[in-house]
Amino acid sequence: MDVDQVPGEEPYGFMERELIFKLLASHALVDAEYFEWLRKDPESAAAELHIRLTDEDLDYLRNVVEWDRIASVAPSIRESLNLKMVTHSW
Amino acid sequence: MHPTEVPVLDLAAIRAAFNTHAASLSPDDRALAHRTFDRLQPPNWTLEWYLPWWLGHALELPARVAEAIVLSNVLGLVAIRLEDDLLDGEVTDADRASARRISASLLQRAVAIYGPMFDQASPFWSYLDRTMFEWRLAAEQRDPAADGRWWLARRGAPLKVGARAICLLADRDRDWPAVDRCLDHALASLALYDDLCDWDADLEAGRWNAFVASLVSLAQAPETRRRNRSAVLVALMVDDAASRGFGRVQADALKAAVLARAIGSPPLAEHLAESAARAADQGAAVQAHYRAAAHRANELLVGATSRA
Repeated sequence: MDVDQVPGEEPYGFMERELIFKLLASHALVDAEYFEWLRKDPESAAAELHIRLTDEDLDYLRNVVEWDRIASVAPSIRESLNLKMVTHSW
Repeated sequence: MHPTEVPVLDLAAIRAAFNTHAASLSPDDRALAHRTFDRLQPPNWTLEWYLPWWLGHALELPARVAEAIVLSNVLGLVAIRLEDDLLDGEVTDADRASARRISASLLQRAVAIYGPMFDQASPFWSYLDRTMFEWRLAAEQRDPAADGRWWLARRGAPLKVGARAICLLADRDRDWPAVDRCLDHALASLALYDDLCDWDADLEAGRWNAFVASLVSLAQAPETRRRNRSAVLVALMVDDAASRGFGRVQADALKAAVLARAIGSPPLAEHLAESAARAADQGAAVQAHYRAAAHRANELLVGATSRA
């Protein structure tokens, strides 16, 4: 828990959590190495982005997320990020 | 505003004149010159072909003089494209010597067209020298230490040479500041657009890129390439970087269009306004693509569990 955190209060709210997970997901999907880092050590991978996750969210990333399933579709998403995929008809 | 319709530019005559110049090159050089010339046709290169024609008409320059300046622009365009390709490492080893010879020869011919138009004391010649110097500096040192947008505009600075000539020949030097500003905005818009479309290739090739620079804090060096690429992609996905990037392209093109209208060139203004509208459409399409990718990524990580 963050030292500045007020007891009984979540360190980030619902909207912030949405943003945090969007950021983590985007980093993980654009960068295969970051994906593996987040999978194996979510605490330090999030800290790299200056994010301190709650214990609940760390538990979620460690024990709930279906990493194998995400890993199987990640390459196709990564490939779709090539700008040429969008601009080829210009 | 000029009251008459702009006559149709005789593109066939310009192409024939280019062929005449190319015919004096050696057979090997001629083939590369034609291949390069074929890549640089309207509509993709409309501004380079039509600027002297539109501006000449607006400032009431005789059509034959404006047409000669179009030819100079086109010869210069091929020469400069080859120099840019050489700098960017996009010319094969077998073609490098040939590209250098063609570029030097065509640039000389482009400049020679102005010989009978200006005496030696004309300010045109010092402007030409300064502009070409600025272009070479911008082409070789792409990282702008200061005044970023105008530095970007200098990548297309040779295009301004013909415009300067037209203002002087039409005795309309009073219009030059507006023409100069209009072209700065138009060229900055084009350079930003190039960098938006080529950011990944530039990063890969180790070329400084303005769009990347607008999104990352790290230097653009080989050791930071992977991190910079990730940072740009994440900015595209979660931070509307495409909307902002294409928005800047659009804004500069619109400013140029307003100035073109003030100068009295409706076709130039229309072309620039169309470029601005196209940039806005493309920005929306690109942003939608990356938003969708971000949404999909987010769904994969959190969506399936509905955990909130």
